[in-house]
Amino acid sequence: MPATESTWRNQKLLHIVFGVSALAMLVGTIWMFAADHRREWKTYQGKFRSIEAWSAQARLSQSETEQYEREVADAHDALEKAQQSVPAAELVNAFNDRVRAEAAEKKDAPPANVKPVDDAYIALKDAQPEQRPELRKDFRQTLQKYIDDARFIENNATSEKKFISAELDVVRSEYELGVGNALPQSQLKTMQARVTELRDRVAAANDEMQDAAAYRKDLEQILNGMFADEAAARKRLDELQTQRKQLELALYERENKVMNEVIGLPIIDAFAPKKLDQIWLPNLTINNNFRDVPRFDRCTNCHQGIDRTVAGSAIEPAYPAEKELAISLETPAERPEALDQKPAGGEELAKFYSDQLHAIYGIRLAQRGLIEENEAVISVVRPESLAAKAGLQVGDTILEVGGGKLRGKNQAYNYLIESAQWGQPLAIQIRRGLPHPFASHPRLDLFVGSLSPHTMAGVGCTICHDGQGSATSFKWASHSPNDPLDAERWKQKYGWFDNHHWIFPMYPQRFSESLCLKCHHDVVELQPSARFPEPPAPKLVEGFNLIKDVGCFGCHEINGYDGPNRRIGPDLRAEPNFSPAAQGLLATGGLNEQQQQWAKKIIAEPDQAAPRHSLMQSLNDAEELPGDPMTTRRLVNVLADVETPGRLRKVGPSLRHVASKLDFEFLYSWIREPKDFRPSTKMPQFFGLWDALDPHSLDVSKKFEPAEIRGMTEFLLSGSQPFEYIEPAQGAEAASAERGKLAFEVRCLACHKQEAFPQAAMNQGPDLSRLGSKLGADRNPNGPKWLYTWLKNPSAYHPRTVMPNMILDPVKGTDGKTTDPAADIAAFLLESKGWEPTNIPGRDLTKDEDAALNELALEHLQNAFSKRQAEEFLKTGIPERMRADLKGDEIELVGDITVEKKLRYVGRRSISKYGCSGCHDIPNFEDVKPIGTGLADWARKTPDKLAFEQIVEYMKHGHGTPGALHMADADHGDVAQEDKGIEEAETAGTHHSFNFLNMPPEVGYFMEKLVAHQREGFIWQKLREPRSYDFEKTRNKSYNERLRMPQFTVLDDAQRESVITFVLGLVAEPPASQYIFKGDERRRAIIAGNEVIEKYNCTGCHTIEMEQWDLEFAPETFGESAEMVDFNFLKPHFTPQQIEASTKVNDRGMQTARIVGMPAVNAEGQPVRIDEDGAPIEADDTETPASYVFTPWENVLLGGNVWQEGLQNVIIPESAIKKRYEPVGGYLARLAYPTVVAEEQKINPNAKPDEAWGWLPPPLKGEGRKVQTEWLHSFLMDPHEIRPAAVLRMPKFNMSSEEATKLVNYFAAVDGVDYPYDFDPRTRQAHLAAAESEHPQRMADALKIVTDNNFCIKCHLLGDFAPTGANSAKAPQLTEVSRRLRPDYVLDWVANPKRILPYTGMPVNIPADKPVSQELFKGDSMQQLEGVVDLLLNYGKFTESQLSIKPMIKSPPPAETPQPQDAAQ
Amino acid sequence: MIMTTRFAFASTLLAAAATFAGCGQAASPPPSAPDKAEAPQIDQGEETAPAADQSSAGVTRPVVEVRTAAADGEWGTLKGRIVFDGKAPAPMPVDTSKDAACKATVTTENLLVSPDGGLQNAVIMLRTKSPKVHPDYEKTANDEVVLDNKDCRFEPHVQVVRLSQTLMLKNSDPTGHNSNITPILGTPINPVLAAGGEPVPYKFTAEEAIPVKVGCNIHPWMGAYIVARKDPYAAVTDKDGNFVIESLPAGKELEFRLWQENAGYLKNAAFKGGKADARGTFKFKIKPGDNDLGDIKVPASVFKK
Repeated sequence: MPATESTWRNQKLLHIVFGVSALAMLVGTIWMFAADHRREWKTYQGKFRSIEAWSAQARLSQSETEQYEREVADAHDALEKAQQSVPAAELVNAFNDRVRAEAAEKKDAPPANVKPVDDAYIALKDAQPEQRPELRKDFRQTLQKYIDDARFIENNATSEKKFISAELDVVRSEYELGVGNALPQSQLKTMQARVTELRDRVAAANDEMQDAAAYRKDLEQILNGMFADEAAARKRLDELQTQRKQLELALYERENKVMNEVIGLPIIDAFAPKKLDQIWLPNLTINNNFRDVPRFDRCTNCHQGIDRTVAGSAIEPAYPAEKELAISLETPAERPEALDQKPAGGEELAKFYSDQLHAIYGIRLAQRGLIEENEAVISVVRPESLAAKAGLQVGDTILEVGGGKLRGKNQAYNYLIESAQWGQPLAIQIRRGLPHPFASHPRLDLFVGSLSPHTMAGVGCTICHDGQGSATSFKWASHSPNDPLDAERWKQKYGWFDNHHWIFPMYPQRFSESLCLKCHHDVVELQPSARFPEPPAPKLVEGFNLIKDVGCFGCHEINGYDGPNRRIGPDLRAEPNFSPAAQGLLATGGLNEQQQQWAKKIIAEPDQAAPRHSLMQSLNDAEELPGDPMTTRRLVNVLADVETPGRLRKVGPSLRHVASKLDFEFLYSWIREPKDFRPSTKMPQFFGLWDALDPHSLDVSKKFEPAEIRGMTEFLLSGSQPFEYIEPAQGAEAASAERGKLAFEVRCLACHKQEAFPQAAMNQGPDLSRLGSKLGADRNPNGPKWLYTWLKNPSAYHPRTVMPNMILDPVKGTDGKTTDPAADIAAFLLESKGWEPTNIPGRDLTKDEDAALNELALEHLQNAFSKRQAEEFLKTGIPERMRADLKGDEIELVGDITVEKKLRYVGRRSISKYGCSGCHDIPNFEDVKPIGTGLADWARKTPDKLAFEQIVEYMKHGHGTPGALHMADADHGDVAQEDKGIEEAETAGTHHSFNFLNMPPEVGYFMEKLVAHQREGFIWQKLREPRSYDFEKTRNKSYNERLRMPQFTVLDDAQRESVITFVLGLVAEPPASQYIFKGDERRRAIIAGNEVIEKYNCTGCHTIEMEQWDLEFAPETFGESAEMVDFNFLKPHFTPQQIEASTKVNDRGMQTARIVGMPAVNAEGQPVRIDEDGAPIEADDTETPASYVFTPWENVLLGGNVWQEGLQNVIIPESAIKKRYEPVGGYLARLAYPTVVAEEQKINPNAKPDEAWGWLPPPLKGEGRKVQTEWLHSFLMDPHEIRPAAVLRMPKFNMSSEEATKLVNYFAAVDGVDYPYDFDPRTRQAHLAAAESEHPQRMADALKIVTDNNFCIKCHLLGDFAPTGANSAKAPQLTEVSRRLRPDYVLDWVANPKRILPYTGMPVNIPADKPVSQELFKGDSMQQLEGVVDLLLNYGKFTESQLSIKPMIKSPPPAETPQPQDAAQ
Repeated sequence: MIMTTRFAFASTLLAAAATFAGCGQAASPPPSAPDKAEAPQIDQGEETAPAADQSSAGVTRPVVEVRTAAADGEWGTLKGRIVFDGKAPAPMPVDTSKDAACKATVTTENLLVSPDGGLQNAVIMLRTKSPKVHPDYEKTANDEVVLDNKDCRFEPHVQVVRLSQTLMLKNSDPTGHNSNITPILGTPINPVLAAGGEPVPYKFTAEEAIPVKVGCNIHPWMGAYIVARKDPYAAVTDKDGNFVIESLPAGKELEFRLWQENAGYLKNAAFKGGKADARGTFKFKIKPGDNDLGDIKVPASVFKK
């Protein structure tokens, strides 16, 4: 084909195509850049940068306010003053003396001429102050000249030394060469002489040089001393100026650089500084479908301010999350006159208003707003201005003034100035803080902050929050709304949607604590602590405690172990049933003596393995098992070792001997509806939960439930094992309810409530109101006996109870009469009545009841046998020969049939079905496992594994009206049936009939989740109405297949949410082991101890942490503290850094401090509030500005001054208290205080109220430092009386030795002292011998002080001596000191007891400045003190040394008498 | 150096001169120039103190003379009687078995009422701040005031101590005591007072708005109260309920507070022409000369049973 000009394609067309595509590409590129530029996070970063710039500007502005200027002025003043001062004459004299001395040392030199110095000094002194700065310079120069001269001499000496040294080197090498060249001796000798001479000269020159240097340095030092004040003042000024420069620099970097603008331009902004950051966490992996991949968190790209703190604090958030506040701003009484000179308008008017605002209220408004351009944001608050007094802060945005909404800044001027009612306060609505994503993390002490345990770079964000960390936009990050309203707002604002494909959506704010459980498996470490007094995870901890308290784990095990050693989460499981099994075995009556002993040991201390192994072994070896062999075999099997056993005790009381305690009617009523007798009971409701039932199913329930309850009652009572009551004390006075009330109040309220004490609030134990209706003799003849026995020794009835033995021994009063407090308390409790069981069936079954019983028994039997067989057995009983084949509860029906047997059978089946043994110890149920689903990984359970069933229908059909429980709804049965047709047609398959937005937010949230078939919704409704998931299901289920979960009526909505918070944290996804919380050894000891403290409610009585107040106060608020005379070793020590830190002021110009101790209280136990004169203010007076009288229990620095523990009350104005942290524990002590004071004042009107603290359970602050570990352990295991004055004794807890050890370690760890052993140097022979050699008879002399009629034994017991008089003035046995107390503590205590216990009545026996009588002990105060302490700590040894054993031993008469003379003697 | 010594010498002379001048005025009423009278307080050296004493040693000034001063128009005396309005409970015997050295017949002292209703040991104190103080009070300003432990009770039970005065804690008993003083504002002290030991001095560092309790932990029934004050204007009622406050500045309305240990503030205490408020305070204008409030009746309901 010939070549032609024509092309294959039409060129023009191609041009067009090319042109169009090029254009398209250009557009595409531009669009791409634009899209990139407008990415969400870039917008936030830009905005945040401007916020930061603004804040820096605000800080700078603030620094320009008077406060700053004043400081600068002060510094100037100080400098000026220094420059006008005259250096001390002594220093001048010292200078002159030094100069003279130097001259005098130099022979031949003329005497020193110090006249110029004197002249210059006199000139300076005589001059007017304003001339002095110049003259000071002259004077200084004069002095400097001497120094210069000295330096000249010094330099000369130095160079001379150099020269001579050089010469010496030359001569020395010549000499050495000479030796080598074998020069004649004489020559060498000369050379040697030369060397020696030169060496002497070098030494001399060196001396001269050193002298000169020392001289020069001395002069310089004196000079510096003369001008020290000036130098210091100058330094302070420089510091202030540097501070300002730093602020200006910060501002310059953020705001003023033109570069910022350029960098912010499209395309360029793809590079620094707006860049995509991410936190890379290679070890904190995330499970992406069966594969663990490193975690990338990009959250900080939007949450830019998350880790920002205020300047000078490592934990206070710089940008708190926004909230609205109402503030009342005072106005001046009169219209300010300056307002009359208003300029016409324009720039000047704006400036005029701005200045007026500053002049009147002390605020300025920022040029531009923080979030919106035109908002009225406060940029300056002058200290002590009206605004400052109202509490306005820099950064607050004014929203409303006097009810009028502000639209723009200029309106603020109008409202605040033009339309202000002078003399009337203005109501102002402000917004403080920033909206998300700019806000800082609220707990920078815990998270994100550089000093927090979870740094940003270390753990990132999503490990705690979940969500999609790699996402860079709001909607893809899987944020989760906290309620439907949030969801709606987010949808509109960010296009948020619920991304089902991301399986780890963020936890909404209400569950933000849940995921702490990933790493904090023991949970107790999340309680407030000394380091983090603000509770780190209150809701989670509450949920954890509720689960332990109400006993969820009895049915739903939470197994924290995957295999024996791998922890996957919290571990909440019941302990093995060793103790009940041993009781069961003991009850067979067939154990031999030895086996019985083992069994008893196991019952009391089931965690001891040895007796358990022995008993098991011995029974396994036995030829014939005692009792029913099958039952016994089962019990023996229970004793087998368990891999990683659970540690929790069952929450309900033991029912093993229940017939000794309760009668039929009470028990029946209790099982049917526990809260009928005790509304606050933790026992859940099993019966009468009929809301979800259709009419037919309801009839079934009404028929069978009474049979079940009857059966259970019958089974429990007839199966109850024998019990021995404790007989009341002989010879005691008749029981008195009045005495009992007092005895009860000062003991039992630590754990219990009772209607006579409406102020009591503890719920560790049950509410003991109306006990007379339960255990009164008229109801139950055994009741009073049981109650007395229980009070005397709870473990006798229930070996695993946490109720301690209160050691209620009979007491002999001063009147010689003996009373029995246990009988008194019983009498008091039984007095309280007011309840009767209702609708209790008669003991004989009616025909209907009998029919129902048969029917139910048949239904149960059919699970094990054919229908025909079952029917037959029900008529005739199960033949004896089949006994061996029966595996379960059917054993009850063996032999001839009776109604009782049928009842027992149905009862036993019901107890199995409802899982009663999860909480109670019940004979025959020792080997039963929990019946519910395990919850260890519930939070990762996919919703399709949850049986939502017809729940949405149920919620729709009225029963589940959100927010209401329908327990008491009488008409429940019929509703569903009637409405059914309509509703099905109406809403079939849709969920839109719910408007979640119209519900209260917390209900709406869960309802939405429920309807969407999500976990949160499921568990919420499960806890509210557990049986509602049976809706429309029961018709096709047998009665026994129905849902069994009871309803926990004791939980309110908030508590249920806490439980949910906990369960939603059970993800069983432990991160790499380095992230799992372990803590160091001491921290672990503290955590382990906390668990025990919680378990036995130690804090019900004892305070373990004193009250803490965070103070924020204007400088000078507290003034100076008084000096006091005391032993040097007791005086507080603070480093200069600490003292300086305490004088620092924060952004608001305030000093801060944390004070630990307790506020003084009056006789009623209320904190003493005083007015400005120091006069107490009545409780009902809330008008007078009040101050508290706070006794610090730790030395504290307030504005640079030390306030000493126990000795100096701090008067704290209410306004200075920023935050109060309640004491941890000490509940009973505070509750009983007023009563104890009043009781004492009845017999001694002069009793000082605060001494009552000494008669109540003592605070355990410093307990670890106080007592010896070994003593504490044995005391906890077997407490004995220490303080005769105490109104109650430490009870004996049902605790194991291991638990006691944990407590001992806890106290030692808290105080940072040695454990498990503590070394005691004061008891060492060497120490005592050394001291004795200095002071012969030292111990004997010390004993003279102790036994002198003026000191120790005035109050203390010592050996067999006890002071007479009332117990309230007696003090502990001193012979115990050596076993009980640590040496350092005893020394501190005897030296000044108030420092340790501010309320103590113990006086200072040996004042630091005035030793006691030298006739007793020769020596100064310190020697006497040491002597007494050494004696107390070696009391046993000393008394031993006073007793000679030798004379007591009669040597046998000698057999022979070889030396008759000796024998004669 | 010479300069300094010379100055010190001069100032001593000056001070001494001023002191003599002051004393002269105080000794010969009327003290019409209180400002001058206060002047000598500056730099009052040790040498001058005996001089002052000597000057007044010859003239033992009875109280009457001060009253004459009051009559002059600058100063007034306040007196009255505090009465328990109702039937008062009798004191209870206390159990002193603890210490054989103690008298067996000690009774409670928290509420002592004379047969005709006079309330003993009640306190009336001036509440108005920084009053003008009559120069006569200066003489006792630095006195030592004794709180004795005698027969296992404190003597006196209630007394007024000025901040400038020193409280001497003394023990006259043959047995050991301790004095546990816990002021609200000042520094607490709790020394042992051995039998036959020297008295322990204690100074209050701050004025206390209500009397400070003193206790003995060894003998818990013992109690005393100290009214710790800057100015001297406070009085304790005697066994008949009478009190006198001498030489109050006249002409101005002053505020007083009534207090008693059992009741605290004597609220609603009423006298002719006045009534105390809920915190036991009332205002009263002192006339020159005698001011008698008469019976101040305190309702029995104010007291604890």
